[in-house]
Amino acid sequence: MTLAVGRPALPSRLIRLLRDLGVGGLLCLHPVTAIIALGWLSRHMTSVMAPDDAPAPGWMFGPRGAGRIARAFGGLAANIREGLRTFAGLALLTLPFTALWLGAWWAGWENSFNKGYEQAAIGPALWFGATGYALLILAHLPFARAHAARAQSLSAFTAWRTIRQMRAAAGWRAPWLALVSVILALPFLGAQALPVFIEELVPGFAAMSSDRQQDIADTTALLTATYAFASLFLLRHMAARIAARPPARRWLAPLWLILSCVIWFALVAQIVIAQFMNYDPWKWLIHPFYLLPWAG
Amino acid sequence: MDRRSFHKGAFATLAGAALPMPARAAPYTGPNVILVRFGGGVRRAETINDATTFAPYLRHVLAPQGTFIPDMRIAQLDGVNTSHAEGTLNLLTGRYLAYRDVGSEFLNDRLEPTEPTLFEYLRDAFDLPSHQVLLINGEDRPQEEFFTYGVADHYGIDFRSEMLSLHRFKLYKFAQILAERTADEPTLLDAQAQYDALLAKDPRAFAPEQSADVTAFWARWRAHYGDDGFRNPRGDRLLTALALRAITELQPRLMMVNYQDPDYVHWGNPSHYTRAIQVIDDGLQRLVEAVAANPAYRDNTVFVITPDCGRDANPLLGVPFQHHFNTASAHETWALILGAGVQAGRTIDRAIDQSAIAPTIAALMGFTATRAEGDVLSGIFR
Repeated sequence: MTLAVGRPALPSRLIRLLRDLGVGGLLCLHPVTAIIALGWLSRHMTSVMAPDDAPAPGWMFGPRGAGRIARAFGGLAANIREGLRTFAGLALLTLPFTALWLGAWWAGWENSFNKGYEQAAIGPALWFGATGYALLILAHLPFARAHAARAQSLSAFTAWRTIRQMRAAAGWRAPWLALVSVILALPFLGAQALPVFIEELVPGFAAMSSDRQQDIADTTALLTATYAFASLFLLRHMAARIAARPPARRWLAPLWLILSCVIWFALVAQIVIAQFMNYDPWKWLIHPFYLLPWAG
Repeated sequence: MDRRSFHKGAFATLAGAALPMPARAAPYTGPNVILVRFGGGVRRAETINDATTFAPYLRHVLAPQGTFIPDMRIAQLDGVNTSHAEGTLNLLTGRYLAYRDVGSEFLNDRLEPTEPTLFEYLRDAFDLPSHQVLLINGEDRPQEEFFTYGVADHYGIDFRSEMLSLHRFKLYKFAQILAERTADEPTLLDAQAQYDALLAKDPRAFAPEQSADVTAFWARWRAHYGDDGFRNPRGDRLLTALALRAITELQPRLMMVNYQDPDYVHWGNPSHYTRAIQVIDDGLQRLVEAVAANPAYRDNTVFVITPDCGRDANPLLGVPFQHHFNTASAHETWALILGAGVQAGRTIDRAIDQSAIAPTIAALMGFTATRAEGDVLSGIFR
């Protein structure tokens, strides 16, 4: 569908941006198609970091001059391939703490339900341990994504030396990116929590037909998916530009790391609040900002 | 001595002097009433719906034996919340908004009744010692621990009920440990700290001492289960165990059992809700069987079983009943009244307000809840 050569005029870029946000938002409605959106976002990062080597990604078509099938489906295939690779890499990094969160939440409250004083510390200890690990991962995740997008390899997600150097080189921009991320994550908290109060927000909701109620649910899902893609587009774009910049002063790197972790804790808090309001076990594992841009 | 300690001592002395109740009150000869709060907020779907109930004993065995009210409602009034402390006080006072906040914390209501409770009406009308008017409470619900009397100038502390809960047992236990002084110094220091912490949870300016009969009850409980809390039943099974022991040892004439555990579904595990309903259902069966086996209760006891509030039925949530945030469904409950003097096999097919429970219990027991606003369900009596 899209293959940018050179820099198009502003109206053309705006139209393309709106089209990309629309297509990406629709793809984020389902976990399978969200893989395509994830791949497109990674390819977008690559094009931002290396515009000369990687053109702006398209959704469907391959590069001109390729064979007929590659031309017809090359972009889609690249999105799927890159999406699967990114998904696997992100899962590798995040599943250890998200799975522990899931287990700690279930086992902790299961223990409370049975008033099992003997095991009372296990749930909280698991959760805090997982959160400590999560904060370190979250602080590095934008740079791991950037490195993987540039290297186009799964192993890049575990190239810790490079990722650490990229994070250190980013300087104050690392906590800034964390701050923008946790602010942009707030609508996900709202999207998960607000349905709890749907009867107050939508007068007469309880008396509506189930079809009408489903219409409201579908509209909410579409808005959430569109927002998920748009916010991720912005964050990936920021991360790619930060990763492409020359290094900042590194001697403050430990401070920026600590500050990043503190800020990322706000995302953890948002997830916990959202889960308390409207529980969904999958949402421990899949948050648009650390795994899959699926609106859920 | 601070003001709180002074009040405690002074009122404990007054309360002690007031027991037993003045001779002017007549002896109580009416039926025993066991009010079961099928609590923690439950929906009709998982309790009284024929096809989907998780409480088969309640629905299929008990309901046909009494007067069944499938459509009980909590009024939609400004300020009326569908939560546990509020619902419990609606049941106990027969009024809405008959409480005041005494320093609520996040997720932890602290209310105290501002209108007389059934306990006070009963003990004013009849010569009953406090240990025969009982409230049985869960161990981690301090928000419902202090409903034993209303704080306004109606009856008050001399007409209170007694409370059976682990909170009360621990008060007894730590007081005993401190009095015995056989433990080592660190244990004594810890006991003192825990005793003080338990007292600090009571928001009232003064708190009554436990009566001699209840103290003896705890002594037997302690001898049986020990001090560590690892041997006694837990959760809502604990409430059943306390109620069964109370029936045998204290023979209460009015007893409210505040089941609570379905509320654990706030944290999102649906099985906590359905399992808790099953646990309450099992507890109901054990209570009914204990009553049938006890000559002091057999053919002379009425069960009133009703939730404190409903829960949400929100199709947009993964767990539609996770909360009870004042939705229409959270205002929908039910009630079952069965036993001596109550019509069996009857279903009331109109909506009944929750405030009817207190005046109806009062009528069953032969007194009037004068400040209750609900109507007596006189049609249910044989």
